[in-house]
Amino acid sequence: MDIFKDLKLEKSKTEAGWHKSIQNSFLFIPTAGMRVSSDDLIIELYREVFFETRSEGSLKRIDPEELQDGKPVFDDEEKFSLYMSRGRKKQTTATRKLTNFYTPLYPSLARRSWLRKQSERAVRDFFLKAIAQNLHGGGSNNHSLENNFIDVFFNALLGKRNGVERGEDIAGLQIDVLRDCVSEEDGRQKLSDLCGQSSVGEHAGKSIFTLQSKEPDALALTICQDLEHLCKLEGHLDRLQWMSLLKTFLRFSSSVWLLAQMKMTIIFRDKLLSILSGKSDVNIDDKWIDEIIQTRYKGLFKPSMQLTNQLENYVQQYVKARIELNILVALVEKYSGNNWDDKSVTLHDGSKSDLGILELMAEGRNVQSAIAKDLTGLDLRVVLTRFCERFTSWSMPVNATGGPAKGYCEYLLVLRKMEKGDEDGGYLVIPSKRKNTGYKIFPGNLMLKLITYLAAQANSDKKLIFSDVEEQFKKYGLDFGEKGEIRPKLIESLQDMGLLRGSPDAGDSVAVSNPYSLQKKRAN
Amino acid sequence: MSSPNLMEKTNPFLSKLLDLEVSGKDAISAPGNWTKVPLLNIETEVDKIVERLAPSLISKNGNNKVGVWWFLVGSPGNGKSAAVGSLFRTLRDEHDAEFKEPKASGSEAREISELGEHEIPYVVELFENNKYPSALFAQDASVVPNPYDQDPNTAMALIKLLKDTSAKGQSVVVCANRGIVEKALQQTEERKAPWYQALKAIQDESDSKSIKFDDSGPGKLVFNEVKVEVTPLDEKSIVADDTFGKLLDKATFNGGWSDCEGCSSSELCPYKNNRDWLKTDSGRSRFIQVLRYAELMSGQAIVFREAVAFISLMLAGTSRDYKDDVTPCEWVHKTVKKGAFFSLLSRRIYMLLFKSQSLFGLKRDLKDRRNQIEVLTENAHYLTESSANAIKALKTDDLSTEVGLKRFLSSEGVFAEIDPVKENQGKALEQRWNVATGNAESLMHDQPLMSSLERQCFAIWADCENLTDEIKNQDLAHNYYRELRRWITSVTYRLGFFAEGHLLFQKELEEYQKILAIDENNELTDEDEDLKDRVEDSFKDFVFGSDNSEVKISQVLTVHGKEVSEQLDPELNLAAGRKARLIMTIGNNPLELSPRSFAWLTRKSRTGLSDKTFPPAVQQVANDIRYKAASYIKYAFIEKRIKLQIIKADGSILDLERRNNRLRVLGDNL
Repeated sequence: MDIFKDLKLEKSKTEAGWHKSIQNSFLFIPTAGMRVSSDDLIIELYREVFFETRSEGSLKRIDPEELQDGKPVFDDEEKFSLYMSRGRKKQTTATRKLTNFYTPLYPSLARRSWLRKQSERAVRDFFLKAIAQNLHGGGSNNHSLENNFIDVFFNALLGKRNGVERGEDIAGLQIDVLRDCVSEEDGRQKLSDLCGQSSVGEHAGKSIFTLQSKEPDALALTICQDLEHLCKLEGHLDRLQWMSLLKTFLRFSSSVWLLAQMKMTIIFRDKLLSILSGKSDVNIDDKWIDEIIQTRYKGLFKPSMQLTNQLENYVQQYVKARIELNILVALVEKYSGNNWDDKSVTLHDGSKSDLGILELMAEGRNVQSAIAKDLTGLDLRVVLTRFCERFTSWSMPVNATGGPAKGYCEYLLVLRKMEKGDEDGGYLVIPSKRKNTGYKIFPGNLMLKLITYLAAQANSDKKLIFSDVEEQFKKYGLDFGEKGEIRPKLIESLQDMGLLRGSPDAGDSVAVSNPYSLQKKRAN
Repeated sequence: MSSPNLMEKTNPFLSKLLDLEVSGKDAISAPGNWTKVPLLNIETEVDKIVERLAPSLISKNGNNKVGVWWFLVGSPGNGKSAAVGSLFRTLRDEHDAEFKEPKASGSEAREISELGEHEIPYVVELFENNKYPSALFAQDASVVPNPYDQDPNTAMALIKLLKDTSAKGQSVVVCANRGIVEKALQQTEERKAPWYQALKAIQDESDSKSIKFDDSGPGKLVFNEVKVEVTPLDEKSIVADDTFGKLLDKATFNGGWSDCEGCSSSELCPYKNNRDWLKTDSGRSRFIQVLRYAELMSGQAIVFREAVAFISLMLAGTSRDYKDDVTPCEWVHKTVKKGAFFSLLSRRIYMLLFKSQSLFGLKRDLKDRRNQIEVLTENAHYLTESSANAIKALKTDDLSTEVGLKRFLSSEGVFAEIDPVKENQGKALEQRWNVATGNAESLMHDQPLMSSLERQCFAIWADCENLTDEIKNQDLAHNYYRELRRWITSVTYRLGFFAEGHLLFQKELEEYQKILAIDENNELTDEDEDLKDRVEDSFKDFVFGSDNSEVKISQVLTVHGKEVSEQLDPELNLAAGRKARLIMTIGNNPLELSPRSFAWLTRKSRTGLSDKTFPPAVQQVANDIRYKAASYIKYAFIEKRIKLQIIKADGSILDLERRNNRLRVLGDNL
């Protein structure tokens, strides 16, 4: 008997389809796509917060020399600012056309640039979502905490040297930072909405999870706190340098968030499959679920100086898991005779519309024997594999199809060292010189400095030591302790940058200096 | 080769040296090894401290009331345990002390002599008259007492040890790295506790400190107070201060090698030849010098364990070559017998340093090497029997490319980085060592590094060169000749450049070493001043440009101007250099300069090297120094007399000047 007949799944081109209860839940991960340069992330962020519309049509990049009705779009000081922030250069292979990328250092400079209308909202879905999770996932709303955070974040995006004072910073110039933007008040509201539970997109319903313990999600908390530390630095650093740090933070944290979200699907698939195969009982509880969530970021990256394809492999693993989880949930629904059309998967039971993980697993155990009977001795894992092989997203390599995996992999390219314009080192992935032979995973110098600064802020009450920097990386899924060769390399890099202080034999307790201590603003 | 009076002999000294390789049984100085004097025992400054402190560990039946807490601080392999071994022998021989592991429940405490060579108890107790332990020895505080501890915490273990000893008023000797000390201090703050005061004294590098024990408890204290003594073993290079030289002398002394006399393999033995060369003044100093440069380049001091492992490798090879537990001597005899002369050559000093990753000095890539061997061996039948055997052995003899000391000798190790073959060494030198094999004899007279083994190999190569004429197919003949010459020069260049004192970056490393050696407490000599100025100038020149000092903020933005250049005068900070790394200061902000970065930067400044030939990591460091300097000078907030140069996308330059917080265009180039 075909156990997979008549499953209630939304139709999809390359996958078995979404089950409604997952599509409406925190397990849903929106599609992603390429960001050619990290400058795109800043433009996207500005467009989300400071403009009525995030896009005005097809892709448009900043051109400082742009004319409108025969007149320059940007005035002289705006042009100076853009010239200073020119970063990546890219030449298309086919047309040999050279594109220059500019970072808008202030919101108004993004007024003539946008991604195409249909492009995925990566900044919202993989970056601001983490903040929304932290601000609203704790079960209770603390408005003053939220307002304080939004204030700090918003002011940093705006550039805190308002009015005439902005001229104190070379990159600040005399620029009207909100020219052709929404008002300051509206911008703040938009940012607050984007970082809020109620308005995070069409899948808003249960997109934020709440732990049984009511503890904050560890990863979301890290991202939020670190962003706050970074924003506080804005007043002490040249805007150009600060913007490089913000770009680095966006590249890193959004990728980590995306990968960590994927982990939940993989683990829940494993457990449900194991229960349905009769290989394990529902030997889990709410604590186990909380633990899964709280540790999902661990070991996401394996730093390596050997060439690897670990990110693609991981994405492939996720896409397979998500296809299978959708099928398995639909299978449990079918065999249990339930209708979960109006339900959303949640971590723990709550309202009527919730389908708690434990409830799902318990239903799974209840229907296990009926499924086993219909399988007539066949192994569910094997039958599921045979069934999934028909879906291209499951069976083809990640980059071979136009399915979701390709989009995720393309988005993760933001972590790569770009050929030109990444000299300061805000990357994590170093591609091999030979095409398609993999990449190394090791942070560039700017990322090292950023994480060292964040570690210093997180440990502001004591002397910063090497293990604090390691711990800070661990909070983002990078564990240098796992591989023998890579830890000394990290020590060497920090040493070469002059950040290690004290005796080299102090092991992980060697003192580290903070590259961006909050110094006084002006030179004397 | 062998004369009738000679015979194969075995020198046990080589086997003993082999035990000093990093994985060898004598590489770690465990308590079980303390009873005997180490093979390469030399007198160091620590021995004087041992002599001074040993009496303080003995209470002399209560007559001595002041004990000692002695902390030996240094990284793994730095000779801490060896120093404790020396202390042990002094206490045993001069003070009749006995040593036991602590008594465990249900079993009798064992004497130290009963411990296995690799057994390392967390502490060893010192007994006087078998009554009570008056001192404890923790020879490795970077481990925990219970190796199966579910939640190991080395810092807490150290605190507990010190608390226990202060409760009993005992002396203690602790070997630890600085990390454990810092970690322990972070655990909990008990300012008045003896353990805290002692560890704080180490951290603060304060002079000898006395700690009085609390004697209000019921038990009788062994000592009423202790002096805290700290001996850092990581402050200077053991290569630079001739400790390494003494170890080398000990390993090459005549007595150890007398058994080689009359050995039939002696002339072709790479180890005997290495030893003979290292015994010469020029060989000894050259080897030490090369190691010192390698140490500098690596940015990390060579520790004791590495130092003896180097000696072991040069004089006894690697155990990885010795299948079926044969001794180094047996391996040499066997290899001589089968005529695998290039295997023997591979264990010559210059080959071990620069070519251990490439079997026989052939190409490193496995596939390329196989092709090369194929080309070299396919015509071996034209050769004399002896030469043919040597060439055929390239195919069959199995040598290890992993010889240990990875950070120095691996394919990415330091010696690969300073391999002199990587740069042009000048026509004369290259011509001399691009040896026409028939001319090898002339080099024999000039160069002590050339031994009978080299003579033998040159003869085989000459034989090989002659066979080129026998190969009828001209393409094959060309190919054969090319591969042969590549092989020959890959060996002879290393031999010659090494022997004649050339390394990549030698000049720059020499300068670096000289600067480190300048004593800031003395008045600088003219030569020192010149060197200092030169280094500062070339640093400034490289980082900020020569004529008009400027800071490159990014690939497109540069700032300059009076107020900027005034802040850009780098100065060598001779006091802060810790004698391990140079510190350059800009304003009051330190910029640490590793020898590697220094070597490349100086080379660039001296020769105008293109950015493209620069290793990305060093380029990154250079960029970083600029960014760092940029943030130090706070260029963004300088109100006037600052100029900006921006490279626009079309390559044109935009010059701006800042006055009173406003930027204005210089010239008409917007």
